[in-house]
Amino acid sequence: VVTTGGQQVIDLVVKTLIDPGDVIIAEGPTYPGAVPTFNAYQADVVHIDMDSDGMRVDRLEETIDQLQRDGRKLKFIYTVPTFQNPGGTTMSLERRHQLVRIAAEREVLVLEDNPYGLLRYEGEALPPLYALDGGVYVMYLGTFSKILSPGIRLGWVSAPPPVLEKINVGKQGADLCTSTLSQLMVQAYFERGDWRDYVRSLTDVYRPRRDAMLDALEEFFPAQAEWNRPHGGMFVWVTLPDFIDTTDLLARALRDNVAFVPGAGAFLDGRGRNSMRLNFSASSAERTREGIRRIGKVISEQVELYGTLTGEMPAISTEELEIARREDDAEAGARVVELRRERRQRRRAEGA
Amino acid sequence: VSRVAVLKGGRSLERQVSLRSGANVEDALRHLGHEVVSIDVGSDLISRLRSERPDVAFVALHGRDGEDGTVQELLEILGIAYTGSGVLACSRAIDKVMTKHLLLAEGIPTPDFVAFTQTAFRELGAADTLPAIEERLRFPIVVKPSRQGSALGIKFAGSAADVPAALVAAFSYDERVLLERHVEGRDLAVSVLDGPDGPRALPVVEAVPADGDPYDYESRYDIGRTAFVCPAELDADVTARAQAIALETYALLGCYGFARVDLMLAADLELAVLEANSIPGLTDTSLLPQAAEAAGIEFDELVEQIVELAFSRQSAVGGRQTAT
Repeated sequence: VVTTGGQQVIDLVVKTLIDPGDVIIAEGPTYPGAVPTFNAYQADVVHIDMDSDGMRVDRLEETIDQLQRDGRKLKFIYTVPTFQNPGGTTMSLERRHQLVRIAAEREVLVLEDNPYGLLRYEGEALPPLYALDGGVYVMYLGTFSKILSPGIRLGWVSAPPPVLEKINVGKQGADLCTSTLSQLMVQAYFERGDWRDYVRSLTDVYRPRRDAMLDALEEFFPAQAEWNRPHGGMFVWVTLPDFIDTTDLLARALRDNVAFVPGAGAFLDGRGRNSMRLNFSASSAERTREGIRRIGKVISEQVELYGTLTGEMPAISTEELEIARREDDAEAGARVVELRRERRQRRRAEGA
Repeated sequence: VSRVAVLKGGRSLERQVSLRSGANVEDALRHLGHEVVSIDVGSDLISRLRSERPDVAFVALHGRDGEDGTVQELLEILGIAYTGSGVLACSRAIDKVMTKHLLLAEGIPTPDFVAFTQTAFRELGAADTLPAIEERLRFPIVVKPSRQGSALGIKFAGSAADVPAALVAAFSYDERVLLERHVEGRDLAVSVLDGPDGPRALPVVEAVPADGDPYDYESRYDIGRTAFVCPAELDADVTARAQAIALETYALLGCYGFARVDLMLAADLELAVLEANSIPGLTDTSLLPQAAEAAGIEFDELVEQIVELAFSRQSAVGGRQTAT
């Protein structure tokens, strides 16, 4: 079924399968854009954590067992296995096989959301879950938004026939059919046959932007921050010390004209408050670097303030203040950090 | 019939609330037959106002710039009549620390508090005073940014371990924060509306959070998350005291036109002022419109009255008097 953007697939699948209280298993964090949909249909979302190989599929069976024991009704597993939004991680081949096997054994549907799969900047492409399973339990969500145009609002869903029938009924109820004008335009575009060249040109644009962001993070974010290195897609997920609430941090960052997506919006269980999603595809390498510099400065400020408040770090000395006042001087800033680190170490040594 | 510029939106964190307040006001003005000029406040504010030449500006902005006296100052310079409080009252009301000091000086009850700038901690070692502060205020302690509306950045610290993170969060919104004694009790709001016979207090609204829900930003503006009772079910003398305190606060800050005063009613029936809002929300779920309705003033009528008050101030004061 051709849909009005990939987003409509999420809505239609949830509308088709979920009664209030039914369970969806999703990565933690999950796609923030799906959260309002899950909420609107009163789905009960159970998160499974991720590591560098994507969703911890090794925990999937025990989660399903637990749900069964609790008498909760699992309807489907929602996953963005490749260059996940917002996590940036990619599910390993082994876990893909494992997930498809579990889905078949347990007879659980999977919604594979794959908007970014073609935007790979390094490494070998991995087969989609849909290809591994042959479309028996896996529903596949595709979109032209990231490889052609988000404004054209065109996506599609492939699903096992009984589910697809219901999705089709939902689709007719929602908007009868997707704009045929958009469909004809996309058809004409793909008939030209050079769409892969365009995707390649996109990856050539995005790769240096990703690299610029990763370099800038290394340079400007404090040592307490952690992030991953995405091999494709658009996002880096950063986790800060747990005393920083990124929703509040955003208010401070906005005063410096820079924004990010606070992590709380990617969880339905209250987690993610100290995390943030950073996008590197939308801005030039220079602007991305400047944005990361500003966010890094604000975080460092808060890390330092927290240290001062807990007594971990002494209040700033007059000497340090003098240096810090020369704000434009990047080296001066680095010297203050160094001075403070030394003082802290001295204090620790004295304490020990 | 007047040409009314409705100032809404802007870049404050309360933009979304302001857009809803502004849209409500615009609807009312159109019902009343006024000509509406809708302005989403941005860098073209001055040029828009100069070219549109409105008779009066309806300031439906919340938070920074719109509620802190900045936009009011600009309107004074342009000589355009505007709704609500002037620069001084706005500057006082937006600043919780300033408001509380004024209340203390006037003998109007407000919960005990201590306020600091970031500099105090970063450069003057104020962290060493935290244990004494915690002992004085007792837990839970409410930590708030001084100048930020809509409950943004407000945290409850249940123990000493929570205080540093709560302060870091509050400092995200403002250079100055306050630690305030938490008053267990009922959440009341008294709106004040000026009129030909001077300001009068409207019926008291009580905000009753849904079970377990903290009274946070989300629940304040999401229909259904907080129940509002108006008039609040209170003894007549408590209502009278709450209204009297609201009027005193209104006068103390020098508010004009309308304002809302938020209070806590403790178990021992003592009242304490938390803050005053010089431009309270005018959305469907906002408290001032609810209170006005309980007093028999429909929203359209409320808006008309606020606009008329803007004109009467203009003719009475005719601009700010300054020493020469």
